[in-house]
Amino acid sequence: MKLNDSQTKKLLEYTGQVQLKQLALNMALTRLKTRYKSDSTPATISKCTEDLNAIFDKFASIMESDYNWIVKL
Amino acid sequence: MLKTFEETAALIAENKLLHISGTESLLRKLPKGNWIGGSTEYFTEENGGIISGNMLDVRELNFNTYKSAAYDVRTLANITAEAYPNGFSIVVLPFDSEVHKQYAQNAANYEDIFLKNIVGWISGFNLNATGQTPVAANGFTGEVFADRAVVLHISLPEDKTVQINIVNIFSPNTASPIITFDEEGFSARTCFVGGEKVIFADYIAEHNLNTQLPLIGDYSGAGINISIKSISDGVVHFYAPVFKGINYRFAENIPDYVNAFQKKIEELDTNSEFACNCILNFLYGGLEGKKLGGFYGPITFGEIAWQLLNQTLVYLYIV
Repeated sequence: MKLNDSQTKKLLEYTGQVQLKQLALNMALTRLKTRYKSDSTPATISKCTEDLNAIFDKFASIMESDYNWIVKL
Repeated sequence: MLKTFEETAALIAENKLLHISGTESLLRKLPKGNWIGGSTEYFTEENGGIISGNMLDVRELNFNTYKSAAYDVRTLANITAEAYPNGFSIVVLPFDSEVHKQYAQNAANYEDIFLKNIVGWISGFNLNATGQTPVAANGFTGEVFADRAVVLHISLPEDKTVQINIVNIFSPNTASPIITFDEEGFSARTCFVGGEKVIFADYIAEHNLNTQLPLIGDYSGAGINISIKSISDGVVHFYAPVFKGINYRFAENIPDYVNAFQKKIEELDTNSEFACNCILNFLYGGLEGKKLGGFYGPITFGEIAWQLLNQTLVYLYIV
């Protein structure tokens, strides 16, 4: 489970109904969206990708459905 | 499970690893041992919600690798760094202390917080008693603090994963306009309603809004509650901070808290290692004597699932 910068950008800019199951991811995404709003550069997107992938790596066994929802955006 | 002081002391003497909640005076008398705890006289137990200054809620934690620590305002952010790489941490923060406020405002920005599993609660007191102080207790050292966080860090084997979740019986009232804030904190004089700056206290009064209902922040699809504590001199005070960049709405009314909880809980696996529920749910929902089923533990003055939450049940289990 690895996001690339393009998938992260789509997620950060997504304005529809977010359907994540893991609360940590909801909270982390909120923080990343705030970061992206104040600095929308490619470097920020890459850092957000790193942060999200660290969560997916760490909690792989419970993150699969959230990952699948994100990559389908 | 509720225990007498003697039963609790016996478990401590057996070197059990324990999470204990109970009145400040009992916590201060408990012997040293492998436990942490915090003050409250409100509990939810198998037989329903209960208020007791004589009993302690004791949760036995069957884990082999653990450590306790106390944190002041200068060291609080180290909680995440000192948490085990795979495990979880139970945080107890005394109500209205500086560590409570600092954690509430900054936890979401702690290094790697969402790579660790942090749950916990805000300790309190009996609202009808005087002279009680909210405390966090470190049984490992025998210290009881009104101004420090006490944390139990627990390590898990690599093949185990922690799952933290919440039961939030509230949902945003879709008729409520979006409310935002341009200043963060435990109080607000102004806010933006549908983009227009207003005096928040006036807005609440003019629209006859029920302040027992929380504001629900939209955290990328998850509803995070902020409860209103009081309104005085034109300022609205909260039990947790509001943040810039978050869209809030008032919650829909809940006619029957017990039914709302039971409906949510019956869908869940309640085999948890830790659970706590909010004093405002207990009070506003009239939960004393009411059986909610499944999740037992302290009734608290704020709940922690990574961040500080209000009017929420938090639980943690291992998969």
